[in-house]
Amino acid sequence: MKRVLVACGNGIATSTVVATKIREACENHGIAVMVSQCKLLEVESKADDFDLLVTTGKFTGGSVSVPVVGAINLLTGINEEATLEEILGYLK
Amino acid sequence: MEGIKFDSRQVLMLKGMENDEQDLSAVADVMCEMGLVKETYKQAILDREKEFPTGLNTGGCNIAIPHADVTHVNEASICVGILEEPVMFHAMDEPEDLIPVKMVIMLALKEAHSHLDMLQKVVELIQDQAVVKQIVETREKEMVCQLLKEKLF
Repeated sequence: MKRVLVACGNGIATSTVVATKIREACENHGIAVMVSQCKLLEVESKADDFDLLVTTGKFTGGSVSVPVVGAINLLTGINEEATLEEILGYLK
Repeated sequence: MEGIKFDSRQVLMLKGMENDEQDLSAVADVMCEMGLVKETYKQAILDREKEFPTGLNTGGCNIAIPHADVTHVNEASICVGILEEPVMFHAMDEPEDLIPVKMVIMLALKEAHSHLDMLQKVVELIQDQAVVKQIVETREKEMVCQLLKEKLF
Protein backbone atom coordinates (compact mmCIF):
# COMPACT_ATOMS: atom_id res chain seq x y z
CA MET A 1 0.00 0.00 0.00
CA LYS A 2 1.34 3.43 -0.97
CA ARG A 3 1.71 6.02 1.76
CA VAL A 4 1.02 9.73 1.30
CA LEU A 5 2.08 12.50 3.67
CA VAL A 6 -0.04 15.68 3.44
CA ALA A 7 1.48 18.79 5.02
CA CYS A 8 0.27 22.33 5.68
CA GLY A 9 1.32 25.17 7.97
CA ASN A 10 -0.41 23.95 11.12
CA GLY A 11 -1.09 20.40 9.99
CA ILE A 12 -4.72 20.72 11.04
CA ALA A 13 -6.82 22.56 8.47
CA THR A 14 -5.98 22.64 4.77
CA SER A 15 -4.17 19.29 5.02
CA THR A 16 -7.41 17.79 6.39
CA VAL A 17 -9.31 18.91 3.29
CA VAL A 18 -6.57 17.73 0.90
CA ALA A 19 -6.10 14.39 2.68
CA THR A 20 -9.84 13.73 2.39
CA LYS A 21 -9.86 14.57 -1.33
CA ILE A 22 -6.93 12.21 -1.92
CA ARG A 23 -8.61 9.39 0.04
CA GLU A 24 -11.85 9.86 -1.94
CA ALA A 25 -10.08 9.98 -5.31
CA CYS A 26 -8.10 6.83 -4.47
CA GLU A 27 -11.26 5.05 -3.38
CA ASN A 28 -12.99 5.99 -6.64
CA HIS A 29 -10.05 4.57 -8.59
CA GLY A 30 -9.71 1.43 -6.48
CA ILE A 31 -6.30 2.44 -5.13
CA ALA A 32 -5.44 1.35 -1.58
CA VAL A 33 -3.64 4.16 0.17
CA MET A 34 -2.64 5.35 3.63
CA VAL A 35 -2.81 9.12 4.12
CA SER A 36 -1.20 10.93 7.07
CA GLN A 37 -1.00 14.63 7.96
CA CYS A 38 1.67 16.80 9.52
CA LYS A 39 2.97 20.36 9.79
CA LEU A 40 5.30 21.62 7.07
CA LEU A 41 8.00 21.98 9.73
CA GLU A 42 7.81 18.23 10.47
CA VAL A 43 8.12 17.12 6.84
CA GLU A 44 11.86 16.63 6.64
CA SER A 45 11.93 14.20 9.58
CA LYS A 46 8.89 12.23 8.42
CA ALA A 47 8.93 12.16 4.61
CA ASP A 48 11.29 9.18 4.27
CA ASP A 49 8.57 6.87 5.56
CA PHE A 50 6.25 7.86 2.71
CA ASP A 51 5.95 7.37 -1.06
CA LEU A 52 4.61 10.85 -1.85
CA LEU A 53 4.59 14.27 -0.21
CA VAL A 54 1.65 16.61 -0.92
CA THR A 55 1.71 20.17 0.45
CA THR A 56 -0.71 23.10 0.43
CA GLY A 57 1.87 25.70 1.41
CA LYS A 58 5.25 25.92 -0.30
CA PHE A 59 7.65 23.29 1.01
CA THR A 60 10.97 24.95 1.77
CA GLY A 61 11.90 22.96 4.88
CA GLY A 62 14.85 21.03 3.45
CA SER A 63 15.36 18.20 0.99
CA VAL A 64 13.30 15.05 0.75
CA SER A 65 13.85 11.99 -1.41
CA VAL A 66 10.17 11.43 -2.24
CA PRO A 67 8.24 13.16 -5.03
CA VAL A 68 6.50 16.39 -3.98
CA VAL A 69 3.18 17.67 -5.36
CA GLY A 70 1.81 21.13 -4.53
CA ALA A 71 -1.93 20.87 -3.91
CA ILE A 72 -3.09 24.49 -3.67
CA ASN A 73 -5.38 23.70 -6.63
CA LEU A 74 -7.41 21.35 -4.44
CA LEU A 75 -8.26 24.41 -2.32
CA THR A 76 -8.82 26.98 -5.05
CA GLY A 77 -10.49 24.58 -7.49
CA ILE A 78 -8.33 25.83 -10.38
CA ASN A 79 -7.11 22.82 -12.40
CA GLU A 80 -8.15 20.61 -9.50
CA GLU A 81 -8.65 17.52 -11.69
CA ALA A 82 -5.15 17.80 -13.19
CA THR A 83 -3.58 17.96 -9.74
CA LEU A 84 -5.59 14.95 -8.55
CA GLU A 85 -4.48 13.05 -11.68
CA GLU A 86 -0.86 13.92 -10.93
CA ILE A 87 -1.23 12.65 -7.36
CA LEU A 88 -2.98 9.45 -8.48
CA GLY A 89 -0.23 8.91 -11.04
CA TYR A 90 2.28 8.46 -8.22
CA LEU A 91 0.02 6.07 -6.33
CA LYS A 92 -1.08 3.61 -9.04
CA MET B 1 -21.65 23.00 10.42
CA GLU B 2 -22.96 21.63 13.65
CA GLY B 3 -21.24 22.92 16.75
CA ILE B 4 -19.51 25.79 14.98
CA LYS B 5 -20.34 29.16 16.49
CA PHE B 6 -21.22 31.86 13.99
CA ASP B 7 -23.57 34.85 14.20
CA SER B 8 -23.65 38.41 12.89
CA ARG B 9 -21.23 39.60 15.59
CA GLN B 10 -18.67 37.46 13.77
CA VAL B 11 -19.07 39.41 10.52
CA LEU B 12 -16.88 42.50 10.30
CA MET B 13 -17.13 45.15 7.61
CA LEU B 14 -13.59 46.49 7.65
CA LYS B 15 -12.53 49.87 6.33
CA GLY B 16 -9.15 51.60 6.16
CA MET B 17 -7.08 48.47 6.81
CA GLU B 18 -3.51 49.22 5.74
CA ASN B 19 -2.03 45.74 5.80
CA ASP B 20 -2.69 42.09 6.57
CA GLU B 21 -1.49 42.45 10.16
CA GLN B 22 -4.03 45.20 10.97
CA ASP B 23 -6.75 43.22 9.34
CA LEU B 24 -5.91 39.95 11.11
CA SER B 25 -5.67 41.79 14.44
CA ALA B 26 -9.12 43.36 14.01
CA VAL B 27 -10.74 39.99 13.33
CA ALA B 28 -8.82 38.14 16.06
CA ASP B 29 -9.67 40.86 18.62
CA VAL B 30 -13.39 40.27 18.11
CA MET B 31 -12.98 36.53 18.60
CA CYS B 32 -10.99 37.17 21.76
CA GLU B 33 -13.54 39.68 23.12
CA MET B 34 -16.28 37.11 22.56
CA GLY B 35 -14.27 34.54 24.50
CA LEU B 36 -14.09 32.20 21.50
CA VAL B 37 -10.30 32.16 21.59
CA LYS B 38 -7.61 32.69 24.19
CA GLU B 39 -5.53 35.84 24.49
CA THR B 40 -2.63 34.02 22.85
CA TYR B 41 -4.64 33.41 19.66
CA LYS B 42 -3.98 36.76 17.99
CA GLN B 43 -0.21 36.52 18.29
CA ALA B 44 -0.33 32.91 17.10
CA ILE B 45 -2.31 34.05 14.03
CA LEU B 46 0.15 36.87 13.28
CA ASP B 47 3.20 34.62 13.73
CA ARG B 48 1.72 31.88 11.62
CA GLU B 49 0.81 34.29 8.80
CA LYS B 50 4.43 35.45 8.59
CA GLU B 51 5.82 31.94 8.43
CA PHE B 52 3.05 30.16 6.49
CA PRO B 53 0.79 32.73 4.81
CA THR B 54 -2.84 31.87 4.07
CA GLY B 55 -3.76 33.97 1.02
CA LEU B 56 -5.52 31.89 -1.65
CA ASN B 57 -5.31 33.00 -5.25
CA THR B 58 -8.71 32.00 -6.59
CA GLY B 59 -8.41 33.65 -9.97
CA GLY B 60 -11.27 35.93 -8.96
CA CYS B 61 -11.96 37.36 -5.54
CA ASN B 62 -9.04 36.23 -3.37
CA ILE B 63 -9.58 34.96 0.15
CA ALA B 64 -7.35 34.40 3.17
CA ILE B 65 -8.05 31.60 5.65
CA PRO B 66 -5.94 32.35 8.75
CA HIS B 67 -6.03 29.85 11.60
CA ALA B 68 -3.89 28.90 14.56
CA ASP B 69 -3.09 25.86 16.67
CA VAL B 70 -6.00 24.30 18.59
CA THR B 71 -4.35 25.15 21.93
CA HIS B 72 -5.31 28.83 21.46
CA VAL B 73 -9.01 28.11 20.92
CA ASN B 74 -11.88 27.96 23.44
CA GLU B 75 -14.80 27.29 21.11
CA ALA B 76 -14.93 26.09 17.51
CA SER B 77 -16.00 29.12 15.50
CA ILE B 78 -15.37 31.29 12.46
CA CYS B 79 -15.13 35.04 12.06
CA VAL B 80 -15.32 36.74 8.68
CA GLY B 81 -13.85 40.10 7.70
CA ILE B 82 -15.08 41.76 4.52
CA LEU B 83 -12.57 44.33 3.28
CA GLU B 84 -13.95 47.44 1.64
CA GLU B 85 -10.56 47.99 0.02
CA PRO B 86 -8.46 44.93 -0.83
CA VAL B 87 -5.53 44.21 1.49
CA MET B 88 -2.35 42.52 0.26
CA PHE B 89 -1.67 39.07 1.69
CA HIS B 90 1.14 36.68 0.92
CA ALA B 91 0.05 33.63 -1.08
CA MET B 92 -0.05 30.24 0.61
CA ASP B 93 1.58 28.41 -2.29
CA GLU B 94 4.06 31.18 -3.21
CA PRO B 95 4.88 33.13 -0.03
CA GLU B 96 6.96 35.65 -2.02
CA ASP B 97 3.88 36.70 -3.99
CA LEU B 98 1.45 39.31 -2.72
CA ILE B 99 -2.21 39.03 -3.71
CA PRO B 100 -5.12 41.42 -3.05
CA VAL B 101 -7.60 39.86 -0.64
CA LYS B 102 -11.26 40.94 -0.23
CA MET B 103 -12.46 38.46 2.36
CA VAL B 104 -10.82 36.91 5.41
CA ILE B 105 -12.33 33.75 6.86
CA MET B 106 -10.65 33.23 10.23
CA LEU B 107 -11.01 29.70 11.56
CA ALA B 108 -10.86 28.74 15.21
CA LEU B 109 -10.52 24.97 15.29
CA LYS B 110 -10.87 23.09 18.55
CA GLU B 111 -9.54 19.70 17.43
CA ALA B 112 -6.77 18.83 15.00
CA HIS B 113 -7.76 16.83 11.88
CA SER B 114 -11.39 17.40 12.75
CA HIS B 115 -14.08 19.88 11.68
CA LEU B 116 -13.93 18.30 8.23
CA ASP B 117 -17.46 19.44 7.40
CA MET B 118 -16.63 23.06 8.23
CA LEU B 119 -13.35 23.00 6.32
CA GLN B 120 -14.93 21.40 3.26
CA LYS B 121 -17.74 23.95 3.22
CA VAL B 122 -15.26 26.82 3.49
CA VAL B 123 -13.29 25.38 0.56
CA GLU B 124 -16.54 24.93 -1.43
CA LEU B 125 -17.37 28.58 -0.75
CA ILE B 126 -13.91 29.70 -1.89
CA GLN B 127 -14.47 27.81 -5.13
CA ASP B 128 -17.94 29.30 -5.67
CA GLN B 129 -16.82 32.68 -6.93
CA ALA B 130 -20.33 33.84 -7.87
CA VAL B 131 -21.37 33.64 -4.23
CA VAL B 132 -18.06 35.11 -3.00
CA LYS B 133 -18.57 38.09 -5.31
CA GLN B 134 -22.12 38.54 -4.04
CA ILE B 135 -20.89 38.43 -0.43
CA VAL B 136 -18.06 40.96 -0.82
CA GLU B 137 -20.24 43.33 -2.82
CA THR B 138 -22.99 43.29 -0.20
CA ARG B 139 -22.36 46.26 2.01
CA GLU B 140 -24.84 45.15 4.62
CA LYS B 141 -23.61 43.08 7.54
CA GLU B 142 -26.80 41.10 8.23
CA MET B 143 -27.05 40.19 4.55
CA VAL B 144 -23.43 39.01 4.51
CA CYS B 145 -24.13 36.91 7.58
CA GLN B 146 -27.21 35.37 5.98
CA LEU B 147 -25.39 34.55 2.74
CA LEU B 148 -22.53 32.93 4.69
CA LYS B 149 -24.96 30.92 6.80
CA GLU B 150 -26.77 29.66 3.69
CA LYS B 151 -23.48 28.57 2.19
CA LEU B 152 -21.67 27.23 5.24
CA PHE B 153 -24.38 25.81 7.51
